[in-house]
Amino acid sequence: MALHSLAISELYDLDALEDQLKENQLLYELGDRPEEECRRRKKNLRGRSRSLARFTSSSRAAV
Amino acid sequence: MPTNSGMDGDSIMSHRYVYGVVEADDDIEFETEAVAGADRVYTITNRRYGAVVSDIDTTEPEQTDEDAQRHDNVLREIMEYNGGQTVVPMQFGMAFKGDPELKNVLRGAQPAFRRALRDIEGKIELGLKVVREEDVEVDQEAITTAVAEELEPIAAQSVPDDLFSDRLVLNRSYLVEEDDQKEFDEAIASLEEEYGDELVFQYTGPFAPYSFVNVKIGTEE
Repeated sequence: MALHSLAISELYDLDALEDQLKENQLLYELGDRPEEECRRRKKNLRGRSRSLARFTSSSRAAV
Repeated sequence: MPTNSGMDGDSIMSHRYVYGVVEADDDIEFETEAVAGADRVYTITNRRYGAVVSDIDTTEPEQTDEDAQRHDNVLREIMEYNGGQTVVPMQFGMAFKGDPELKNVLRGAQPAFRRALRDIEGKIELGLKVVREEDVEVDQEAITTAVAEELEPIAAQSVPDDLFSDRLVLNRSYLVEEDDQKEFDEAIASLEEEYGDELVFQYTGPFAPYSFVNVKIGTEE
């Protein structure tokens, strides 16, 4: 379980995901990232963020 | 039947979503595209202060991009209402079960609202992100100093924001007297002229001064 938790936390660092969401939006606003790519990345990052939130709450419940 | 009776089975849009707090004399009411499908914004007052609210059907609104944008837009409309209002902005998501709970908070947090309104009266928030072009190396310290020398004398206060991308050279919020906005605009234009070849200046606002008030309200307080 500890190894699994570590792997998950490395894959899904919430602060890093938030930073990537902000960067994605910034690059879109500056015209450096096309709208379609921005949307795709946002959807992916949001999905990972929600997964992390679910994992975190279920881990807390298990403790 | 009134929608705010608080009776079971009558909870549709009976809660109050708060955008910000104003002096009670500033009776604000207008129709707009508000958070969670509401179409009217109005003021609930208690003694000296009023909360600018819209009706909502939950006390835990989900922060969608659209509703976050509506929250900001409503705050901007409040700031422009009737020739200009000072508003203590709330972050997204402050919703109360009903008027009594909200009035309790307005009463309990009077000193905090008084201080916040005094600190931000007649002022606006402006944001600046300085972004380097891809594959361009820049002297971050020199640019930060140059920006500070131009902008800090005009601003009343400033605070740093997260450098969430390695392309961000500077990310800062400024509290500026409304009367000084033109001077601030000109200073930004001057920086763009000097550094425009290697840097992009993303200049945003005016916003309600979120970054310069620290009033958090909640039903538990």
